[in-house]
Amino acid sequence: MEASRPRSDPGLAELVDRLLDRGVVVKGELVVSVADVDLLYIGLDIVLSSVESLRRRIEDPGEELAEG
Amino acid sequence: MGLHLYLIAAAGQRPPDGLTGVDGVPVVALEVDGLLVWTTAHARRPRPSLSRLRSHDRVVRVAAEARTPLPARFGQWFEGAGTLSRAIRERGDTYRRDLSALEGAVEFGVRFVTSGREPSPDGPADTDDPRAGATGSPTSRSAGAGRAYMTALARRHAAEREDRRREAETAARVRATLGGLVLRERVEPCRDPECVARLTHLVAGDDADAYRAALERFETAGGGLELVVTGPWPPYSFVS
Repeated sequence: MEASRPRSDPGLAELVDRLLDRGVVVKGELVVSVADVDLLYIGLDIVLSSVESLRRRIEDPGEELAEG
Repeated sequence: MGLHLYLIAAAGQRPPDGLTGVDGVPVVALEVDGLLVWTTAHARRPRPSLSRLRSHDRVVRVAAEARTPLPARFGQWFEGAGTLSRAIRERGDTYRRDLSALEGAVEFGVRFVTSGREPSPDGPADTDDPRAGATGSPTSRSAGAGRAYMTALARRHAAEREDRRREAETAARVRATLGGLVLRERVEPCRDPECVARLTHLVAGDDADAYRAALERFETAGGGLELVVTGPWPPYSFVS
């Protein structure tokens, strides 16, 4: 029997949202929407991240997420 | 060495002694035209990770304890102080205006969820998708498959209309409950089927307790919605 999946920490998901998707942007930044799901933030000097991908890693700790 | 940016603060707002940020590096303030920009120096750009995001947020929160800063999005990296100073100067007036406008304010995230809700159809099933016919069996291009596709599409659109109606209704009800406690509001997209609406509110720090109490009244008033509230946060969502 498959164990039920724990709900993700809403505070953690909100933290990821805020730090990767909001906040003042001093340098120019290109925002690319892929299928209205993934947002890739590609800065002029190679800021590259994905809010949804990072969120999935948080919800599924089995996926790689560097801890520092 | 390059600089990782945390926040823009008003004149005189220096980091407390011993404050460290990402990877335990001491936070240093750079003064630019009367603004103070909090940074840490690194040999390489810090890549996003949970511990680094937490460290970044902690620095912003330490600053916010004294005076509301403009929190910076994680990942902004400058080759040196000169590059950063030029970038700040370009929009210095905007930053000063935002600092003044946001002084004393915090933000909250509120997610309105209902339990036992059936997930919205997220699109036609693969076997009903006519696009599958290009590589699937000839029968997948049948008229039946086309009807199933259109039916699924109609269901999806109806569900989306209902979602938008419930979101607007919920937002209007919560606005009526919160009254003048909300300075500004952002309506955010829901990301899970249980979510009815997701809002971010800018609230005066002095009103934070009254705001939370009003949300509790909203929840206990019924309507079948549970509220998931996070905050107070520094005003990440309300900077230019």
